[in-house]
Amino acid sequence: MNIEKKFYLTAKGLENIKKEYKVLRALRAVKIDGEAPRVLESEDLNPEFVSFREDVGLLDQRIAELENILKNVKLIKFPSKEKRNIIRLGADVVVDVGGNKDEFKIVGTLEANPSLGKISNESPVGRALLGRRVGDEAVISSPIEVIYKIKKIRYES
Amino acid sequence: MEKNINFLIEAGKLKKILRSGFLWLGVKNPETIAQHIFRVAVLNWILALKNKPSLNLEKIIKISLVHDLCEVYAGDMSPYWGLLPKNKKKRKEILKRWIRLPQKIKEKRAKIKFKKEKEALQKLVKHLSPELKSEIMGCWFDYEGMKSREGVFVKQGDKVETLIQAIEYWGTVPDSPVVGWWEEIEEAVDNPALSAFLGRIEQRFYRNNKKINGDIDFLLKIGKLKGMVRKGWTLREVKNGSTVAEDAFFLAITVWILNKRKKLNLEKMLKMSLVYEICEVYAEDKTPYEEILPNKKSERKKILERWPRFSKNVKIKRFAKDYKEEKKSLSLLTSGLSKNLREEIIYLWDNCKKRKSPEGNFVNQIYWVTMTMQALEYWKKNNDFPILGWIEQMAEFIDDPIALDFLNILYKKYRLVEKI
Repeated sequence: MNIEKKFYLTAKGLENIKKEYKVLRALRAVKIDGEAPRVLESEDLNPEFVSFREDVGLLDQRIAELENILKNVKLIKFPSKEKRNIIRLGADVVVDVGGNKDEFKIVGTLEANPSLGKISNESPVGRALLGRRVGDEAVISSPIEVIYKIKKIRYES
Repeated sequence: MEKNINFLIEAGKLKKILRSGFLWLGVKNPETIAQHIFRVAVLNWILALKNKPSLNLEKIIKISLVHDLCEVYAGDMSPYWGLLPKNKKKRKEILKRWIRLPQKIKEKRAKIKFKKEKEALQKLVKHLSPELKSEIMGCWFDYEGMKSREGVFVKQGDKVETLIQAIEYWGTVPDSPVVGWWEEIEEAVDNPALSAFLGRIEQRFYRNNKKINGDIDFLLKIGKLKGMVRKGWTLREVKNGSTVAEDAFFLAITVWILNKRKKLNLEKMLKMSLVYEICEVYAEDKTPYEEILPNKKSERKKILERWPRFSKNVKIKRFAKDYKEEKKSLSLLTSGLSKNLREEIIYLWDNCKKRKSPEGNFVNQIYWVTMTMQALEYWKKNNDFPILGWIEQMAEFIDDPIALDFLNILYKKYRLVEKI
């Protein structure tokens, strides 16, 4: 049985994906029909999309990827107030690692950027933190044991 | 996967093999094979864009990456192998000019070299999957036998890159060894795009025409990455650590090998691997440690042992600062290139830096995996090398199943758990 992968996105992440999809569709129309949609005049679109200008193959490939994401998207919703003491997708977590404080946001793989403190729920640390509460310890053994003591859990958009 | 790792460990030895021609000519710390391959790949990519009819860029980059792989075992057999006297003065005199030999001797030497290199490459790829083995051997045969337009282009581009390096070492003074490379090139290069580029080199360096910039400037500037040792290694007191150019070569070849399972757009990922860090020509190579490291050696060591921890705001601010500096550097570095190429390079870098597409995400993660692989090699040689911080970082940075699988096998191979 082919189970399609779900893509977990925050509302902001979904908005970005939809925006990119809209722009790329418009770019494609420029290539195929020669029309110049106004959406391409937006300042924040350069230079990310311009490189597609010469390559329809790349453009189509990315459009297909985005369609697949939009088809299988699962919006990350914050849990009800009484369950916000548990780490789930979208949680901001403060941890203590070997006496040092660190902060992460747990996101889906599409939005992960550890340099920005956004940890994927599929990374060893992300997996170990999910379901934990304040006071719990998440032990990572991949392969060296590192203990993450959970100090604070918040849900902020 | 373990066989892929063994292949990559062996291929990584090209970071330490010096180019014999430059060494024989007395260049102190000449470039390594890996450094040379990096710029050959970039040069062939950007100059192939000017070729008409158009060339297959994925093939161009793959052949460039493979063209000297055999030297892991065969060594760098320059055209002068076996012909140089022990006397240094006489040797240098011979090396100043392109070697002239009777046709029959040339053919005989070419056969010996081909056989030795072919056997070396076969040994290197022996344990790879049949598909990868035939792909790598195919690229090398293509290069050696100049069997496709791409093979011909890379063969000639390889010589052009070596000429640029020779000019960088000796300048354009008369009677320098550069003459020998010009002699070779004038016989070997007939591709119009490469010939036009050589014309620009001549104008720029020999006629002092400063208006000739563009791709020449870009290639000269990224040449600085050949000798730019990663700050991460220097901070950890590694002697002769790997350089940005060497790591870019290694990243590209690793991405290629691992993409057999991943099946993403390889051309895009190979290009990303080559340009991901070229911004460091101007932007400083940074690590998260610099701001927090004290002067006292023992305290520094303690901090370097673990992955540093920062607040969310500090992380966001640092990323934004680095991103801005790197983008500015990249814009400056690529300013002489054509608009399309410039935009493509910035797009590829941005895509990888922010993990914006599946390809960007994969290359970004494999970049960290290759850095960890290098760190493990240093740790294997010197157990004082602080490895734990790397392992902590990887548990947070990596979520791709192939990258995680690769790391786990790597950790077992280096017997990390037993040794720590």
